[in-house]
Amino acid sequence: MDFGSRILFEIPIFGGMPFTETIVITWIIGAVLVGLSVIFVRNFESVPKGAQNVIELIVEAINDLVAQTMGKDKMGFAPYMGSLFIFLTVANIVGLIGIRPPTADLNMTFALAALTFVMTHYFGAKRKGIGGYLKSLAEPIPVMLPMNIVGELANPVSLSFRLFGNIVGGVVIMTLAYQGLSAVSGMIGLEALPIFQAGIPIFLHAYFDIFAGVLQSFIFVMLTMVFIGMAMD
Amino acid sequence: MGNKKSIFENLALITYLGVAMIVPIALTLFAGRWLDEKLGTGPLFLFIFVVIGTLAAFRNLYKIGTRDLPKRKGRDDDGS
Repeated sequence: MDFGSRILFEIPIFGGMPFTETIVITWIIGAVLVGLSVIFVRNFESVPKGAQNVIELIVEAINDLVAQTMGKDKMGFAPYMGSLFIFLTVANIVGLIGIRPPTADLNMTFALAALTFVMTHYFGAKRKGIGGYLKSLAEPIPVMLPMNIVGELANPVSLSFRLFGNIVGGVVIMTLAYQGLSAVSGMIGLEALPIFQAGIPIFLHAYFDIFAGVLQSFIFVMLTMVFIGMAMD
Repeated sequence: MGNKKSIFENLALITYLGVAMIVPIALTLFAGRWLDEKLGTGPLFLFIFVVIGTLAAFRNLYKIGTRDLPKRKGRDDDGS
């Protein structure tokens, strides 16, 4: 059994450039989210009604979260954190409709974690100045320098591995559960009528896709905010 | 409302503790072994790197644990 991301097509430049499921599904999710925001944001009124209420609720919740976690002076990060949270949530629960979640690919999660890493150190250096930033690596005593560097380098690794591990674990268990249940259906002679696959996976989907997916995307965004906030304080 | 959000924040940080501890140790373990293999220095760099990694793991835990302390002090100063 192969749980890896399949290569869908290759573009014959640079000696063959493979495009995996991960990339194509990410494009689709991105296009859907951009399309939805264009549609919903088109005619806003000062007194909200209908879908505008929901949009304002989401935006306000994200603004509150950023203000509380990072502080009022870092509200400029709210759009990035909001986009990241919405994208990750959709990417994690897309397994509900039978698509492989793009976050079940270490390339995807590590790219996002690398973005967090770069932002942490760029904004840390910008706020404190290059000298102050380098000095903060040797605090509280200069002996701590190697530990601080190793500790900072470990952050993107742990951030990406935990998201990847949670989602890919869900994908593997769901695949095995569907195959096991179809075998059980076959045993009692109901190959044509997949009675077991219809009901039982609901609970597994509720846990692995919805609960774990939303919680992990929340944790990813929360830790991104904490890291950037800590580097800037 | 504010209290409920800090529960989620703390939940996120608590579930992070285990990973934050194992990753620096694993990273330095592999880095030390790789250096030893390249330079043929036996377990020398492995020992040095694992000690650094363990201390870095504790430093990460310390940073996560004490993250909120200055903020709380600031809140008291505001009188809120």
